[in-house]
Amino acid sequence: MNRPEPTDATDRDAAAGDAPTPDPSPSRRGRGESEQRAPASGPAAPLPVAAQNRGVGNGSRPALILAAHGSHQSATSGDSARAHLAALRQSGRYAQVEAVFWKESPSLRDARYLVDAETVVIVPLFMAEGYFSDRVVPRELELDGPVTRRDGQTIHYTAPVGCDERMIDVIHQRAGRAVAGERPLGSLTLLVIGHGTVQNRNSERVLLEHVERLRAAGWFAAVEPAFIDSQPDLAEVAAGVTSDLVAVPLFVSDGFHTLADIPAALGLPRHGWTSPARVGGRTVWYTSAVGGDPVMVEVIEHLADGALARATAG
Amino acid sequence: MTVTWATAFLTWLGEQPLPLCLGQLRIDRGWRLSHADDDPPGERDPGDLFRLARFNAEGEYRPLATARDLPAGWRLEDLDDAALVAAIEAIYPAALALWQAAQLGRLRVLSWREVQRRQTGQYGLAKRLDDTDATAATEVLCGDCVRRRLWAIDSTLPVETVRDRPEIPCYEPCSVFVSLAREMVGWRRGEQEPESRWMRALAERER
Repeated sequence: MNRPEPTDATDRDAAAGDAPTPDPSPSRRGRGESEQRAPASGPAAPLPVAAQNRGVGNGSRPALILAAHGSHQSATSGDSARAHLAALRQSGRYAQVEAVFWKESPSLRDARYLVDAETVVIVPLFMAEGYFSDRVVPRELELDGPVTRRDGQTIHYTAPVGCDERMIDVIHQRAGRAVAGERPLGSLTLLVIGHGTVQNRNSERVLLEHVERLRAAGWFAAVEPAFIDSQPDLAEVAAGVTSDLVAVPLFVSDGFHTLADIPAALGLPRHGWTSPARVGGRTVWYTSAVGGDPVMVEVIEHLADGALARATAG
Repeated sequence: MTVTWATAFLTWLGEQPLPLCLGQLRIDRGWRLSHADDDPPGERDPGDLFRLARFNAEGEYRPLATARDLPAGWRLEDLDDAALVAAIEAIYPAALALWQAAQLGRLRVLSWREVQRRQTGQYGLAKRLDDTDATAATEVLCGDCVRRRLWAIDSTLPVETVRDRPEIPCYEPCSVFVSLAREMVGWRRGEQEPESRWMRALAERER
């Protein structure tokens, strides 16, 4: 077995917005409007979770759960989530930190049995609002919306990590570490690469918003969006860049797309590529999936802190 | 990190005659952990236990952590409480939390019918799986899993059946089962070749 090429599109790279069906949610929902998110579909039955023992030994600190895709085909798809899990446990900020998966163990469904703190924050590790963050995760975790209260437990559900404004800092720092001072970033073109899908425009919209913010920040000579399955097309965008460039894939984790498809579209070898590389007279730096960046932990904490602060204020 | 299920399991374990087996794990005083099929326990230091449990002896990825192909030939010794819990979690994620939920009567068990009903997207196809094929899928997939299955096609077993036993309860069909259900419908329709090893086994049965 050990198939190198997964055939289940949703298992590839766990690309956010790579939705198997058209997203039924409003396609133009901005940040901050998620409070109006419609209740998740699925059973709303009260949970038979006993309140006994809840919070014992945990003080009043909240528990944090990362909700990720994972894969039945790729052993590494969940690595980003597990790396962030380890870092967040080290920080000691939370009574308990767990990572649960749509496709791996522990499952999204296991979450309710894993964590018994009175306050729980769930951060979805997806790059955009869409099918998974709006439907699958709330359904599997039986969430009512941004805040769910049951059996003495308050569960906060944040926006997906990829929607957070701090993503531009992660992209900036990831590009900077890849280039490692060999050129000033201000002389380079930055390509921000997404999957893109005609089935869910949210993922593209979020990426385009990050591009606008990155342009406004002025860190790079130019910033261009590109998609492997939508317009503007990555191969065409890359071919049109005449300066040296650094390319950062806005994916949750590495997989088939980030390790083979995108390098090939950039003009690198499909397999065995290295970075930097000379392509068509330019130097190309390419990073692996942004979702695996250690700085993502700050995005996760920012989202969790925001949810808890709103709870305190409200 | 102190979590109630870890404490509850360690307390319970301290009162049991040892060694005992949990899935394919043998737990002995000390604490010592090894593969249940290794007698005497294997010699190898497994290093990163999570990595070891990700692949079977043939080097194939194990998407189902509780599948019966956990690689053997290793042992861990002199584990403190936290290290024992971490090691069990690395091999069988959430197993101890589910064990405790069953002990406390908190585990909610759902039949295949209920889980089938909530599928959407590409897994909506799983709703088309007929009960004969669903039963065959349980025989092949669940027969290859160490969990104690508490659900059936259209009914469930009482949670009490796993009380006070070192078992990992299976409270509803997992994502691997749902995926197999979808694959089986596609295969029946002649739309796809068997891909997962369980689908290949199901196809083999009918040859």
